[in-house]
Amino acid sequence: MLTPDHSIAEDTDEHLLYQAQQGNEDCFLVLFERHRNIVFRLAYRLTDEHAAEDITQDCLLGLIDRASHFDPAKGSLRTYLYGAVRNLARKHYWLHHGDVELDDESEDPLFAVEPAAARLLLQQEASELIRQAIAALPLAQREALVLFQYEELPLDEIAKILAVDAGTVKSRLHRARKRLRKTLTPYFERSIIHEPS
Amino acid sequence: MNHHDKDPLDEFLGQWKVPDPPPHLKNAVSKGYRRKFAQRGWRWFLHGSLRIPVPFALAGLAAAVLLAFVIERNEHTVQSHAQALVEVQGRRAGEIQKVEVPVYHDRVVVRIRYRDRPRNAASMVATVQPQAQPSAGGYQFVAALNARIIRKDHEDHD
Repeated sequence: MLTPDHSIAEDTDEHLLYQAQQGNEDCFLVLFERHRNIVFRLAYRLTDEHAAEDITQDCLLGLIDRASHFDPAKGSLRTYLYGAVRNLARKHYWLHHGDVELDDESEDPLFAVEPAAARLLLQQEASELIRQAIAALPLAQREALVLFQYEELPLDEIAKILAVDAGTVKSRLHRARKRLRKTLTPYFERSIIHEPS
Repeated sequence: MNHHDKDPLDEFLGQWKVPDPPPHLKNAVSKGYRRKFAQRGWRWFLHGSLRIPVPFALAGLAAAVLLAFVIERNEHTVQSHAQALVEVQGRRAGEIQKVEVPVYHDRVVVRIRYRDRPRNAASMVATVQPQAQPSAGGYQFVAALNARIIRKDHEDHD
């Protein structure tokens, strides 16, 4: 026999959201448990750890206020949340960086590495290095790269989240990868060479 | 471009690990949710907002202006009537004046002439007070009634 918790856990996002809007906290917490990882992960990769906490909280609480903006016919709740995180990350970016170019066309890397630092990297160091390299990308390129590389979303879904066409997403991805390759090649070549077999 | 391309860059980028959400996040979100619902109810009257379509808002505004105009006009009329009444009452209460009103006593004189009596005897004059006279809707008695019977031609043969 199913307990009430089991039936809630198996409920659809749409129904849980409706119940959460009516004041059912259990349904809201099920939604939170279901989506907190993807929301936090994306927010973390687009901003930083502290901002990611705030964005996760704002995004999931804002879902209750703006539930009418979510249309299941247009996409899943996960896609909607990706879009919401992206908007909140942009707001955070503007607050801390001012009105700067989001999609810089120049090819000069913003994040410079010192050749002397090219050495075998520990996992933690590599993670921090990649974080810095991706954080140095223009925001539009960073969004496209994170959604494609880490969230493994198809191009058309990324285009929907970013409200651009798939060609623009491809172009941003290409430029982002080109920059990262230029910045990180000294690291990942050494890293691969020294990787134990 | 797909996710399964084996590129050294992809393998390197894959080393970026993200920590799990902090445990206190659940409590913070749960608290925020409860606060949000506590703010609903009567607090809506202080912080709530309504989304009204512009045509409805304009119509409401026009109706309010019209209503205010009508109320103001009615109040002005009532006020002027009240003022006039106060003036009249003030004159009655505070400024008592004795006014001489000319009174006219109408007297209807009817002269009745009797044909068969001598002229001197018939020439009596009857004085009738207006109070005793029956109301005739403003009509008065005729001085003399001379009745004439007119016979038509076809009645002569009967």
